[in-house]
Amino acid sequence: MASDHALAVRKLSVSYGPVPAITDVSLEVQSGSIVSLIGANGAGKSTLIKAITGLVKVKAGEIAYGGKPLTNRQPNIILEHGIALVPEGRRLFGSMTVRENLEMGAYRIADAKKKADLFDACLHYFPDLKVKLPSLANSLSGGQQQMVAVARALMSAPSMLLLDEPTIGLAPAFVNVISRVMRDIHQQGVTVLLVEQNAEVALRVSDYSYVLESGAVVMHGRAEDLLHDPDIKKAYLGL
Amino acid sequence: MQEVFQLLFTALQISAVYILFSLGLTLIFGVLKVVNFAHGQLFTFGALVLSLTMGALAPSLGHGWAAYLVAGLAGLAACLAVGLVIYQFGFKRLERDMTGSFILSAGLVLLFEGLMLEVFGGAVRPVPALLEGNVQMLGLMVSRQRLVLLVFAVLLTAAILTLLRYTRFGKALRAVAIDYEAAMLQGIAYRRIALYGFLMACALAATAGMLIAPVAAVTPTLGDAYLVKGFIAVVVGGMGSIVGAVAGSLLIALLESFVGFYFDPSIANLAIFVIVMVVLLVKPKGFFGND
Ligand SMILES: Nc1ncnc2c1ncn2[C@@H]1O[C@H](COP(=O)(O)OP(=O)(O)O)[C@@H](O)[C@H]1O
Ligand SMILES: [Mg+2]
Repeated sequence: MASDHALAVRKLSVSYGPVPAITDVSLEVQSGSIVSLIGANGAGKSTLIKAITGLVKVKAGEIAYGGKPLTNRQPNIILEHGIALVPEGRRLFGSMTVRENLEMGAYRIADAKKKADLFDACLHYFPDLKVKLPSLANSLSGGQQQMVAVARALMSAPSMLLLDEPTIGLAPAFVNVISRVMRDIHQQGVTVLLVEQNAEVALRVSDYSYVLESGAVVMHGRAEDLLHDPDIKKAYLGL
Repeated sequence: MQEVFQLLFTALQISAVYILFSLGLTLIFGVLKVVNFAHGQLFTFGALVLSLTMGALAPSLGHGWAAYLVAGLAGLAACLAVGLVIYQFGFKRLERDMTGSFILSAGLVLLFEGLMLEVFGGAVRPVPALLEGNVQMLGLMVSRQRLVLLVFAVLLTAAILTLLRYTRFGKALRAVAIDYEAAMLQGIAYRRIALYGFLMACALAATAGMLIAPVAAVTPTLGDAYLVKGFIAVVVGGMGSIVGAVAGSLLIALLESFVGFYFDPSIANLAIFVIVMVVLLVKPKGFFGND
């Protein structure tokens, strides 16, 4: 049961002050799948992600992961349940080194051996970061910073990874690296929830997709089906 | 030349206290993004408790190391207790609230100063000299006591900097200071780090006060001047920057001792304020502030 629906969001509402940002949003992410969340700027994608990870307060509704309730818990508690986030805008610790950023990702992992293995795995995914380890995070290029952000999230050995627009503004070479890593970790059993503004990219990498408009889910279905849906084509794929 | 060494030594001596003081302000700013203007009162409180305890201990322990150590622990414990209370019932609720925390800490300044005047009286409470005599060093005559206090302050500063730079706790504290939400996303229990950071700052203020106590006039207003200088050091160095706090403190202390000697102390104060203005005009975020 718990393994069936890794993440379950039921009738979730969040508002900033009196202004509702998302209303009655429900969504399910099956364990081991890649689910994408698409929608225009301001649709409420980041708000939903922030609600799941405890960064904004939920007004109504429930969030559960593996059957355990997680509504309105602190972000550090959410992480302890195995959900890691690559936040919008990366949010690296800019004046700390790349190595320190990765160490912070493994903050709650006590086992030194496990930490070392995760570290090696991250450098295996992103070999370019090896020479950058002693550099301050804010001295890196945007693409490199995004790699650090993904690596930092992976350092917590999550069972589910949320990514909020990880490839926005990146050169194609970096987009490819990030997409490849996402597929790799998915193959290793990590569940992925991906927020993308580029609907085509999102629908091509994911199994299932939710479309958010003005804070509400207006459509959801198998990514393959949505890719050929005439409404989606018109509104999001520019065809 | 000897004069210069003497002044450098004095500068180092004052700066060590400013550094401990401004590191405390920096820690609090880092974890809560507020300025605690009542930080100077903790500094004073530490010195007063030290002086009072040493007085009480004198009949049994005399005023040697043992008495100083016990009284020091008493001062530390007293300041930590006060720190815990003002955190739990005050600053914890005002994190990231500049206005609210300003009102709270300004109120605390008045409250503490009034209470300390009431309880301890306005008279100077001398702390007996820890060590007598002088030592010859680099052609300088230095009081043994000042030397010991300086060495202790330098070692403590080094320990704090090492802790912040290399330990898991120190890194978590820096991460929280940079972006507390991102820190929580890494599993860092932000509230706990904030409490520890705040208490660490209180302990630093108390320690700085107690280190200066044997060579200063201990009164309920002892901390006022240090708060102003410590705050200036933080602003010049860059709010929230650890390196900045150290650099700012050194700069203020150098100005104070050199300008104070070659011109006079009031010109030194003037120079400090002019420097602050110039720095803020050229680099509004201070030397090491990140924009
Ligand atoms: N911190 C905030 N305060 C007030 N309104 C916000 C805040 N963050 C987002 N919003 C509003 O909530 C809505 C959803 O924003 P967001 O979740 O960031 O959308 P998306 O990620 O899909 O672009 C927008 O109308 C946005 O203006
Ligand atoms: Mg967004």
